[in-house]
Amino acid sequence: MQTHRKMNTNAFLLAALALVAGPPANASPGEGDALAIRAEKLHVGDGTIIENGIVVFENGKITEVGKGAPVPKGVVLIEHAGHLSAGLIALREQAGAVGESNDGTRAVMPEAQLGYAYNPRHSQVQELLREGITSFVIAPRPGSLVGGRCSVVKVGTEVIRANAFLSICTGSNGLTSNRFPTSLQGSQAELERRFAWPKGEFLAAVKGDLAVMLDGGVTRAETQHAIAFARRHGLKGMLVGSTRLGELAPKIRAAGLGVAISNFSPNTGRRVVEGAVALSKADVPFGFALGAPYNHPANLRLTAAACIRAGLKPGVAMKALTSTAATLAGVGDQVGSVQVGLAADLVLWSGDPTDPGSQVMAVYVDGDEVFQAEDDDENGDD
Amino acid sequence: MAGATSGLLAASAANSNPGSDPADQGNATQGDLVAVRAHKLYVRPGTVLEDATVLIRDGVIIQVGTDVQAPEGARLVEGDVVCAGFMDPWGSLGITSGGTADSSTNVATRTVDVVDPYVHPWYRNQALAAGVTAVRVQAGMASARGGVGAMLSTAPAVDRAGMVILEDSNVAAALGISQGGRTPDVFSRITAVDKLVKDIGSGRDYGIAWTEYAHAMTEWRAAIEKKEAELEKEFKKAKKSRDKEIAEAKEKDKEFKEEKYKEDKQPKKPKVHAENAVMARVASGELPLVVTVHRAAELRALLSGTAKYKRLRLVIAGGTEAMAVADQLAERGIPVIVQPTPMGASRPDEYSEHDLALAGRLSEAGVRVLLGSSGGGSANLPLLASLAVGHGLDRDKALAALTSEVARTFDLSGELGTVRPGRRADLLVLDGEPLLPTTSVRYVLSSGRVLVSPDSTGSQD
Repeated sequence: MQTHRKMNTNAFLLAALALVAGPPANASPGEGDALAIRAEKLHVGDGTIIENGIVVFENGKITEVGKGAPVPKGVVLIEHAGHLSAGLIALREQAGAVGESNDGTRAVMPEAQLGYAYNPRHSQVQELLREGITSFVIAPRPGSLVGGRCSVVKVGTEVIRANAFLSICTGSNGLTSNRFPTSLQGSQAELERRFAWPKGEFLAAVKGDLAVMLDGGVTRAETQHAIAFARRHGLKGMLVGSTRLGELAPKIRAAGLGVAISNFSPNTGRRVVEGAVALSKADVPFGFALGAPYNHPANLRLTAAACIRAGLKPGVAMKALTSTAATLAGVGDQVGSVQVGLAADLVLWSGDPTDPGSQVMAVYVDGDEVFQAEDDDENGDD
Repeated sequence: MAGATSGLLAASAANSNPGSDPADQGNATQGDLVAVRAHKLYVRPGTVLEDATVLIRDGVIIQVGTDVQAPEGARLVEGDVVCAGFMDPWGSLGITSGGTADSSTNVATRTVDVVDPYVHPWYRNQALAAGVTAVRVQAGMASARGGVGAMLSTAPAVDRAGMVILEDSNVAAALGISQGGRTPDVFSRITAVDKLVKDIGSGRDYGIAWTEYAHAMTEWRAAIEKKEAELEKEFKKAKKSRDKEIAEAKEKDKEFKEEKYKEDKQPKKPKVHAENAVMARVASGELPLVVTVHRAAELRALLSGTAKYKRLRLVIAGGTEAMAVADQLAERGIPVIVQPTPMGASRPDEYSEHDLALAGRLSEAGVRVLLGSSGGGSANLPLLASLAVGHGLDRDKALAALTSEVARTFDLSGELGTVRPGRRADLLVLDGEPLLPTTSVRYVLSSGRVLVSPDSTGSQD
């Protein structure tokens, strides 16, 4: 457990307004402890920002939010000279499950559950905290037609939703050269067959009980096929892996799908980020997929910033990083917003979270402080 | 051919003169006056003027100040914030991909020979729209010796002359770079460092040999002249005595021996060696040597090996583990071009310790920091620079890392990187603070021409 004493005094103005009984090192609340934070700007998650907003949390859950939210007697109030938001959510990751997240022999295995592969103590997972990511969807790597059921996990702790999505690749991303099916037509025929007489997970997907994570492939034709596939079988969920989002936004909207925008690479063009702007205009809900550990955790926020530079409203980008992502993953009632009753997964930023120039100062997961920025430039302890 | 190209480029290096450029139609053409007015003017990072005006004539800034009046007839460009155009000190926009990827380059390879105004037009436009007005490019980016690099403008051009700002910005070398997924072992890596140090030594010796030769030739010419003068003065007497000697020799049936003068022996010319000739310019400090190197082992070997070359101007590119030698880098004033790109688990071996906090840490340790894209992603460099800010780099230092520090490192301080009289008018007009994602670039001026404006939406063709 860390103490708040170590925090950067430039960014943090710490004031213990009430003296707490007990060990001072216990400012970070464990079981039964409560804490309050007042931030200059509090991003609720629905697009609104509360100036000098206070969030109070206890037992890992948010109990009060608001400008003048009452701070219970005996609860420490931390003054944060910066922004506060819910923890960020990444939508398609393999961090902490590399090597366990795909199967080279079977093309269709809906029974696999990715949550089982999750190692919350893996260093790849811990790195996400440094960039303010507190939850993510653990998904199979591309290379299977049906790679299994994706789970939503908390960084460093537990699975919070075991059966979030059924992962389906309708495009060439699902193919490998050394096992059935070996052609795009073959894979499409196989998927059509599975959904023609649906059983088990496929039935749940058709009935709308299980959302799908649909890898539409990168080309326009494959993405169109994926959208048509979802419409034909009445599938709900989100489209991933596509870069042709801008031109297909109205079709995605008509299919009622959400989108996980693929990681923006600093060396690629603007197709992806301009696609985000088009999705926003078409009112398609979207979040961001990072692709950790193959991509650096900072890429999540960088992608959002690139979208803003291309014209996306910062408020929409912020929602895509938090509440919309939570809703898409079916965990909007647990995480993704700073609202009473939700988990106290909070990030303290030095400035606006959508500015890559802002630093993550501290991260709380379930009310526990799990990351704190170094208070000086001596490093090497991480 | 090389000579002809050289002449062409030399003419353009002084200042761009693309009167024939299609992009300046309808814009402020050369010879016109342009006045840029801003609420906040970054003369250089850290030096700000409020409500100031920049006056430009013939593509060059002629006046900067709060009391400068825009003359009658000048085109007026107004905005919130004005700063110098961004420069990518480690890019590839504007040279052929074959040239970038060439692994058979040597130090005598000239990057200007692979400059092509018709490659990457879209990417160059994107870079320009993002405010990146100049890119240092290098043939053979991952080659052991990349040759002579160049500084190019990102402005649309119809020929090389319209692109090249400086045809010899530096010489480049690379150490310990993985090729085709294979990492050289530590012995070959250190051997490569030794080889580079030896090459610098050869260059220095070569330079010394030619300097000595030049001196010897001067002395020799002087001696010849002196002797000739002497001979001319006493020509009749000398001729008489020589005739006498010839006659005597004939009489005695001996061969006449002409008197030899020491000065008849011309100093021996050193052998011309193209690579050593370039390395000589490096050893003398005329051209900076940009070394792409990442690991602490090579960095240490390079720094200790080159310590004796006091005039050498090293620049480190990459420098993933440069914190291990930060003190030496700070002491010797060696800048580091940091690549602030986020990298995931599949990065090359030399980047295994890659950390977005590097730029901030080096800067904190007193090392001069530049930020570079290390490829064609110059358009995203401003965004990546803000990421470096988010990981500890001071905002003004980040701005300097894209402007004044780049100009200083590549001997272009008199031309680029700051908003001062006499500089080339590569300017950005922004609607907010630089390096924020919410700030948009309203106008981009390259050499005084308005190439991006709110109604051009970033495309010029």
